[in-house]
Amino acid sequence: MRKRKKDKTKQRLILWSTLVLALCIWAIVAPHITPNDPYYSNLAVAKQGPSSQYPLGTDQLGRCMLSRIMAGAPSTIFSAIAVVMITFIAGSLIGVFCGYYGGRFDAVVMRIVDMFQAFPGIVLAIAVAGILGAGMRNAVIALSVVGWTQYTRLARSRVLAMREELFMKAAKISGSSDLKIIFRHVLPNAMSVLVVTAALSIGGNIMEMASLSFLGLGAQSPKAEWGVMMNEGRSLLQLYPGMILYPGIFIFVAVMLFNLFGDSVRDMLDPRQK
Amino acid sequence: MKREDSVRKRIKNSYILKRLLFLVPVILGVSFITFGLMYISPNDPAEMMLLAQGTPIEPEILQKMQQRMGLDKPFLEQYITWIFNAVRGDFGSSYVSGEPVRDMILRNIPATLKLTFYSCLMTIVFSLPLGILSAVKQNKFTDYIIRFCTFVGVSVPGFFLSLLLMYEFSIRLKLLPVRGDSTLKGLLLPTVTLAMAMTCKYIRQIRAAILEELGKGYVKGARARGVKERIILYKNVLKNSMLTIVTLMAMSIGYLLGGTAVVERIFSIQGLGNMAMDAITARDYPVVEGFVAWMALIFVLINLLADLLYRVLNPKIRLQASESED
Repeated sequence: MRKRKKDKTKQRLILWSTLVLALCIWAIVAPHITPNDPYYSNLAVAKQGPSSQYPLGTDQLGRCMLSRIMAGAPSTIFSAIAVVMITFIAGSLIGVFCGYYGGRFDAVVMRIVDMFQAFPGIVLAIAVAGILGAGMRNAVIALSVVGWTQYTRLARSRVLAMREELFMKAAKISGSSDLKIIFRHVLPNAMSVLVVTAALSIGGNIMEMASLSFLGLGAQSPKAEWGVMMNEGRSLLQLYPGMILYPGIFIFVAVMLFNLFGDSVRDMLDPRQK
Repeated sequence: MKREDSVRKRIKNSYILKRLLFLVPVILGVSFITFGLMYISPNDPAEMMLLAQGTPIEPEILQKMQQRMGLDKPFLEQYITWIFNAVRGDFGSSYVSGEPVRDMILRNIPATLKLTFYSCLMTIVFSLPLGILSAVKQNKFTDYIIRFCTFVGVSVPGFFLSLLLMYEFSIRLKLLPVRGDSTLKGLLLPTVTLAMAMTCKYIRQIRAAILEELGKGYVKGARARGVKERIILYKNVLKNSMLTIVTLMAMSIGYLLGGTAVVERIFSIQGLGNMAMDAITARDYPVVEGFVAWMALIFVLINLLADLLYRVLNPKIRLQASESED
């Protein structure tokens, strides 16, 4: 009975990882196989409904919606993944070093973490992105500034929990250097919790990335990006809802897939759940 | 008995004091970060202000402007001046309109608070019964439907949902106004948008909290003694899991305060988030700075209240936890 449940979790993980992988591959390939030029505007065909030449219709400047969505796929998805990677690596390393060495460094860093967490993340992201100036790179910086603390907290608490374990003492007595202990013993042991958090946060980051672009703080207007496209379509909502509907659906599907993937990773790795 | 009470009170008071003191570094730090970012940002506020006034930019005028705005002073001096003024309640005035930042914030705060309050109310009204239902019917059809819906709900971006709702109810059916005014009708769509994501999140957490409680020994014991399932659920389980639920809710108020920016933008509600967005686009730094400081203040105070509530509700940690705080 238990074995069958485990198998099912595994199957779900394989299913969702395959789909997420497929989405990523599609996002890499899509910009190169667009049916039309995503930046070519032709006012004669502006604001048209779906047709055989423009499968999802055209926008206010007569650009092909589907082509723009395909061209925008990598910027939204991969910038969100970049944020997760940056925060995951930086946050975990800081946390592990804090927990391992303790002392004054730890105290200072943890106060900084407290400070960041005593503050609504999206407000900080908006402030940082807004002040640094709009742009995809600055949006990534803004979300990274907000995101790293959760990994630091987690990594540190995992290290504190394992500091008194026998294998740590054994490693120390057998003469391993601090760095070797951290990278060979501490990090692998703390990894599963951190990976779960990272996997679960991709979907949310895609959403926040798109929100920043939608607010005009991420990618900028001529660029094909899902949030930007929805912002452009906002004023035309009444006449042509397709301009927000199609990119919105793509964002929704991407977020949903990554959330399902994150959930299945958690079910697989986190022993506390189920 | 009496002595214990006074000890308890003293510990509690010192705990509140400690948390309030913690507020000082938080606000100092957060404002330092925003101040630093503004300092390194490529735009010159004096130039922006002259542009806003429509004055032609000449080096002489620009220099005078910079002097008047205190921009020629070193960074730390500027920051410390800001802090001293802020402590006295003076957050400077807007570069664009010249209005004191404090007045702007006070003018915009009611709409945001109202939106936050309604969204929380709606979240509680929907997530509590649905979460309980989902837990009671665990792994049955109802549970699957609810869980599926919550899954869809957390994956829809707020701005997409609000545009969809706006299209359906304001533009197509013409039932509700497109702009969110302060009437109940005008606030309905923004509230639904904000409450949706939270409701879906809380249904899952409430479900988990109740399932955890249902798995405990005393429930098994009560069942063995033949206590009715209804009574176990309402009299014991709900009461015990209330603790987790109430704290979760209180914590989310702080999150909501920040999350309103997008919705305020879409429905053109004159609230704090909209004010901050306008200020950011116009590089109106004193307003951004004031907004960030106020948000930090409100957020920390609300989390403190949530924490105190948790302590009041849970007698177990009332005493020892405050001693073991670092």
